[in-house]
Amino acid sequence: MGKIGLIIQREFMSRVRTRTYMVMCLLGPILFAALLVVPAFVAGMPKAPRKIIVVDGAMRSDKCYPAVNHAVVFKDSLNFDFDLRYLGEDHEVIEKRYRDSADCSVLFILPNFMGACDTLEGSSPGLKAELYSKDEPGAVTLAYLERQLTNVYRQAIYETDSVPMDVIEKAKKEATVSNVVKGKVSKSEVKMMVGFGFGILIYMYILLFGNQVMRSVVEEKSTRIVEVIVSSVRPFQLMMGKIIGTALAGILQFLIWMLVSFALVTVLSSAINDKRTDYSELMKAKMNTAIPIQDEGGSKMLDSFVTDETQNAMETILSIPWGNMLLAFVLYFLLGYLMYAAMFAAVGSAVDSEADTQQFSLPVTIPLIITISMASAMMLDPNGSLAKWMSQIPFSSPVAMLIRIPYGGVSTMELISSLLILALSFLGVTYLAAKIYRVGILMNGKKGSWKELGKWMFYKD
Amino acid sequence: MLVGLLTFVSAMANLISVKNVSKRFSTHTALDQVSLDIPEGSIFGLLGPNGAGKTTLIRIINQITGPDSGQVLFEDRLLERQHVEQIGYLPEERGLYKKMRVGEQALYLAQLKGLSKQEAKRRLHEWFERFEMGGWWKKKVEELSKGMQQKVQFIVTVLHEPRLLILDEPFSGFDPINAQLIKDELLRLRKNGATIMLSTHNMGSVEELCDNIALIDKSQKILDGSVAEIKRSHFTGTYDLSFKGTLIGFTNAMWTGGELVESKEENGRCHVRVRLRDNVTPNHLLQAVIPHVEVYAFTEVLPTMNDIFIATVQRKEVGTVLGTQSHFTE
Repeated sequence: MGKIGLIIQREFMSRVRTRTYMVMCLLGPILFAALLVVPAFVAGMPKAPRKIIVVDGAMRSDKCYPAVNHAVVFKDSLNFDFDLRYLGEDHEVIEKRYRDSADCSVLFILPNFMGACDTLEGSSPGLKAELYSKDEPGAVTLAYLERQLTNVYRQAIYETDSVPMDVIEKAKKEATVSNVVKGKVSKSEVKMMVGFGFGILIYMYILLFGNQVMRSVVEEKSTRIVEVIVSSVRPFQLMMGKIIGTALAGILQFLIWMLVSFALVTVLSSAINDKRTDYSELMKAKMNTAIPIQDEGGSKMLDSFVTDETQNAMETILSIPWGNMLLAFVLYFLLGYLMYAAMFAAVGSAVDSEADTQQFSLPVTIPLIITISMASAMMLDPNGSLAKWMSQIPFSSPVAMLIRIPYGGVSTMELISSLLILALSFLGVTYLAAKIYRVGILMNGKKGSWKELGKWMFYKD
Repeated sequence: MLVGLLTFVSAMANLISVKNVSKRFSTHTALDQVSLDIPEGSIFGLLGPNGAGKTTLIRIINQITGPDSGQVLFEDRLLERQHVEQIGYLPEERGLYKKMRVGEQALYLAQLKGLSKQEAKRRLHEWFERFEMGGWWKKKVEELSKGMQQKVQFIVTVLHEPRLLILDEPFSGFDPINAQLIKDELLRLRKNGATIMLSTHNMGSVEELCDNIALIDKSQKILDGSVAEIKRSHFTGTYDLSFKGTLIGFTNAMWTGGELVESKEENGRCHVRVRLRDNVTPNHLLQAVIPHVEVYAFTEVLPTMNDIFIATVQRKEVGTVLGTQSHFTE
């Protein structure tokens, strides 16, 4: 085994053997699985429905109102428990009664709610209601109530103008845009999740292992063993051995994570799916009691909707060019990691202790942070100029390209040029980093500055 | 006959020749046209005040850094990468991986120097036995005392039986017993043919161990040669005399032939150190004083390496330095 092989082996073993590494191998997937499963689990958990007393102030006076069936509009659901007892009370009375005491919210539909009936422009002060609560009801509740009130208004005016029921039903339909890319239905959300997931993964790995390389360099420098080692091997060999050994430990950990995560997700999600079925049964039961007439169609519609969604999502997942995706992941991870790790090694060599690494490591990390913070902008327009540029600039391309690939539309030329630029930058950055490293590791008691680091690049061997 | 001649020639050959080596860093010159020769099979002392450029020179010989100009020859051939396996280096600032086990670490460092794993293991067990370190193999370095770590590091330095050993302050951190152990090992290694380059501020060990030295100051070599020759060449005509009689009697008798550097009276005996004038021989002195005092000891005083170091670095006469510290009151 060559000397660089020895170094790789030592770096690999010294990482793999630590307790933290082993614990992380097991804990990582649990966290990972938790990240995927817990939100779904929590969202599916039953919770006490919000109790809302509906007080319709418009009921008393307005004559264009009788058609509205409050029981249908404000029907109980998993999230809401409506109480329609106080129809037609006065604003002041309600306010007084519920301002402080009620343990539930009160929706007060203002008396002139239907004022908007008279004018098409809707400029009159109608369509207003107030919600009194002791705690913040949240945006979802407000949006739901607004939607329902809008329905109340629509029903009322349809009724006033004697629009036939079937016309109303027809008018309720909403338009949808199916996203068909290259002949296949595509769900952007799924692509977004896949792209962002891989982008984040690369980002995390580069930071995590880059930092490990940096710490290891600082350790060798501060224990002074580095001088003994560079009397046997070239500093460049030591640096590359360290970077590669750390990468191998990282890749091994990644594989373990993937395996254990897969097992965990499979076990957990099957357990959760069982429970989910219980809830949907419960929900159907509840709906049945509320509106018995609509039962058949409604629940069928729900079922077919769920199946369609899942099928589309599955189709989208399958439509992602996984071969390219994984190949790109490996290539971008390796090249990106190698380039950043070299910079981290240079940073480690410039300081005497780990505490001093901050001032240099931040500028190294900033390009990555910027890329991640621009991820959502890139996902809004995956083939726009921002995304295109970010996926060519070597400091951001490992993350940016991974975000773009699931959406398709990345041309082979783009991919090749991006990888080529990254590979060349990796060589260039490593060359310069090695120059800093070789001087830095032997420079004790002298705190490097950026100016100093610049000088080190031009020292003769 | 021929074998004998060849042995003689090879004994005289230089293992390392440094030729006009200069090294500049951005703000200062670390080495300025330094040349020196290290004869094979000798112990060579590299001396000099702090910051003189010793470590830079050592790093150049170790190929950790390269010279700006000049060259280093290993057995008359230009120093190359493959030579690192024939060099063992113990830096002044020592360190090992703290979390790594002693045995593994020693194996790793030995393999980096080109030893096979089996061979390194075999030799390590030998050394561990000799240094009574049998139980250390599985210990982590951080569990060892500083002295123990130094021992491990020394073994790692010599394990691959390098032809050239470069030791920077090898005795620092050792108690006298372990320091002696290391000294004995160095002498044994030299006997077995190793060449040793010793950088130290401990002039006692230079006198004890070194055959040749070079003194570097402010990036330039200001003195080199064999220890014996250097001491001889720095001889200042100084002698120690012990006699029965009065000091006044002695100085009167010596008159202008010499200068009294130091004196001490003890139990009716006088001990004096005198420096003779250029044209005065020891015989002249003795002839002059014997009629007046009863001489029972007379020795020539060669300057110590300590004296020579201080005098040379301060650009003074050795004689002026000789007088600065008492030799009789220790």
